Amino acid sequence: VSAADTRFDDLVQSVDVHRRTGDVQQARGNTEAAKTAWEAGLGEVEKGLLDGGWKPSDEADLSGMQGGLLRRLGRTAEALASYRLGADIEARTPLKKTYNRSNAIKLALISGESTLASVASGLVALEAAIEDAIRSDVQVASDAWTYADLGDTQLLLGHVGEAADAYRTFSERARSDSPTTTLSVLRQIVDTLRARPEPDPDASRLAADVERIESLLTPR
Amino acid sequence: MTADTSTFQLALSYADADREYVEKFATALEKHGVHYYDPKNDLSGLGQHRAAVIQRIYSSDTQHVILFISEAYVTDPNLRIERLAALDQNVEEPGFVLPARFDGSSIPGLDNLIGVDLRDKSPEHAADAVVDWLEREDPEIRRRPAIKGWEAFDPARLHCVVVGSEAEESAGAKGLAAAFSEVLHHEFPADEVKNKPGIWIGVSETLRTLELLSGRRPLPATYDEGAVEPCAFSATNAFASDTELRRAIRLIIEADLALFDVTDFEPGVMLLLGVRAATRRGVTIVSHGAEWFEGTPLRRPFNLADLSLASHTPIPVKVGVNPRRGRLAERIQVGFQQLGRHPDYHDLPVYDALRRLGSESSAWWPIPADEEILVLCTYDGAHEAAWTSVQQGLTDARPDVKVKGTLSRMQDFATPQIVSQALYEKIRRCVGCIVDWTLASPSTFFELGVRLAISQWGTVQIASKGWLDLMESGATDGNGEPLSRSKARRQVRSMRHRFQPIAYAADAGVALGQEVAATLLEISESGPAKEHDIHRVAVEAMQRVEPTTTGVVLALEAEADRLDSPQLGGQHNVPQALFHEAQSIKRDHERAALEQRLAAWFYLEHRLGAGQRSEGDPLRRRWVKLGLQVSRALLEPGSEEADQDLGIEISRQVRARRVEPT
Repeated sequence: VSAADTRFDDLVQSVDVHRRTGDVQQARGNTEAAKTAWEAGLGEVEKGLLDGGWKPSDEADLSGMQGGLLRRLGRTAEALASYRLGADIEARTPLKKTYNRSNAIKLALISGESTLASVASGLVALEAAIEDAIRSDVQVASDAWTYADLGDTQLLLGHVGEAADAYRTFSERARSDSPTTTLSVLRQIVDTLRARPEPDPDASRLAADVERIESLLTPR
Repeated sequence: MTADTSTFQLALSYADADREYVEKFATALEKHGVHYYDPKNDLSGLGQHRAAVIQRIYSSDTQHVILFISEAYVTDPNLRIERLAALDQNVEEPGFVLPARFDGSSIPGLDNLIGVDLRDKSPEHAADAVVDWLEREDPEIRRRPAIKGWEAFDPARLHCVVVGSEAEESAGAKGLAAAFSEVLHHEFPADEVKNKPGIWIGVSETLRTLELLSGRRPLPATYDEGAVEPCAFSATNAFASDTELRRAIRLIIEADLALFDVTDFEPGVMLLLGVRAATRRGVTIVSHGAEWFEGTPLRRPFNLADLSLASHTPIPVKVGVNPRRGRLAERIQVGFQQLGRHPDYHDLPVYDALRRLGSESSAWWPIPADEEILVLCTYDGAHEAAWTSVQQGLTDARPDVKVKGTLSRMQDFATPQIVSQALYEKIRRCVGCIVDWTLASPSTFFELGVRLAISQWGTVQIASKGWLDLMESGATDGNGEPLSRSKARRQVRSMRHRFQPIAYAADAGVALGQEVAATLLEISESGPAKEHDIHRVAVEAMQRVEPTTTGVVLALEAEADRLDSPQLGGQHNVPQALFHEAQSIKRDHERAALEQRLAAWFYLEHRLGAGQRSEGDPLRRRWVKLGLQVSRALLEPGSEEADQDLGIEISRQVRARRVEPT
């Protein structure tokens, strides 16, 4: 393991503990403690990004982590900017990972910036990119997160049957704590689409699809 | 290579008519530990150009030649070549030839040389006189072992040993030693022209990380010829004397890299391989020559059935470097890589089966000889009658002796356990063990090597007299195959001197039983204090090369990583458990890994005080890293509240005393 990998691993581990601490405190209703933890994590990521010296794939991951923490802190526009920066690195490098590209679209939906119709072409391109990565890179094909991204993308496109297959693969491969994370994002998208002044015509379809997927992923 | 694989101390040249005398003389020589060449016992040069073989052996491959001069000798035209080769060498190296005279026959050029007069000497006295002469000519000869190699294990060096076969030694084919020598000189160093790093880098890196009881291995990172201790000898050399055998055993155990030529699966090679398998978790390459190539059929002994067997037969190519070299280099390179990465790396069977017997005392306590006696022998149908006779003899002898244990061969065990696991457990635990050499089963000799290396109780070795006679005579069947099933005649002869197996006649009956039982009784009553030689040598060598037991933290972390490795803080999510599709299996692995990491963290915190150590201390860094890992896992979505609290608390402690990476 190289020194650069160790440095990245240490930073990611530490930031993720802050993020999870924040999530736990938020769930307990300790909003201030949650905010403190997320801000601590964000401080570490931002310092890491400022220090620089990362491989493109690491830099993209750090941008994604930054986006996740900013989103939790309610700084949606900044979060979206982080995801887009990461998405740009993913597309430019070109990386097989699609985490930032996927989250940039989802957050644009959550923030109300986009509608399902307006992100459709981006979703189609993303689905193609993920499927290509699965075919060409065994590491990407082995990673459960890939199937979460694929499932989300297909679900948003209304390809429920294919999305169900992707989620099933995701659920089988992922660490057992993973499905909850992805479902909460989908629920937020549904809520936002429904809350728009002019409700998104696809919102009801998506809500029904999310419910089906929830029942699929929830352990019995 | 610094060692000579085929140097004899003395080569014998004699006429057939004088054979009886010379054989007794040779037997006496062996008792003096002199390693000699006897052409009448060497069948393995068959098929080669006779003159070339004789020329080489009677000049460059021996330190001295003794000519047994008689009327029969001077008149036999077949002996002319060996005589002339020796005399030519004597011109260059006076004192090379010693004449021993049965009568007054004359050989031009030798008549003025004072020799040994055999007319008034028994073979034994003649041998004494020759040994005196050898010591006068070369005072170091008996102290200087035919087997060279390092005198003391040096942790800063890579130790390599090549064990050659009698087949290749006698044929003058230094196959495996030569192949390794090429690898050592061409593949270990970096090749700057081709911009190849050389395999030394990986080899030394692995050895630097593996800590031995004697300490760490400060091997240089870049190749240096002085950092390698190579050594090669044939199995025949290894059994030439007690001193040679002790030396060979030590070298085989201490070597980081051992290469065994298993051509013909000779008894001596298999015994030495058994010693290696039982003692050392280094890199061992087992290779077959004699025109055999990897991927082609080969009948293997049971114990080597799942071995990745190499070939050192040169691959036919018209020009350029023989691909054999690259193939051997790759095996060595990959072997050391895997040794460094895989905690349970094995290239030979036995090692774990001998050590992992279970924790209950009933799983590892010795099995007394009045309960069970392990018998290691061939299952060849041709031996069945002899085995029945041995068994009957022991049964009949039992009323007279105290050794009443059941005689058990491997196939007699009523156990569903896989054979290798059950067999090596018995080899370790049974106080009483009989090994029958008859028919030279390679598996039996491999098991004998294991037993001699690890057991403090010793072994009763027996062999059918009929088989020993066949071995001695070298009689062959219609296809030229030896009736004894082994061509390694010199090796077996030397082994007989070292181990003195009880030779039994087909009708030995109760007499054999009593002799075996008496020896078993002696072993069982003498107790572990009287360890036999090979085990004692092994114990001494093991103190230098036994790896340290993995520390608590490392062991717990390694097991946790095996179950559920931290994947860049969750950036990757690749399933690790087999049958991960079953959520319960996955969850069980994740949970077990978390508990092991927690145990490791608490050990670091409370036992080693890692959190209080100085900032640069590696233990403190480990404590931080592990603390964050367990916190992250305890804080996973949906975890119990108590787990979450513990995660928050550990992360708080770790961050308070965290050393920021520089």
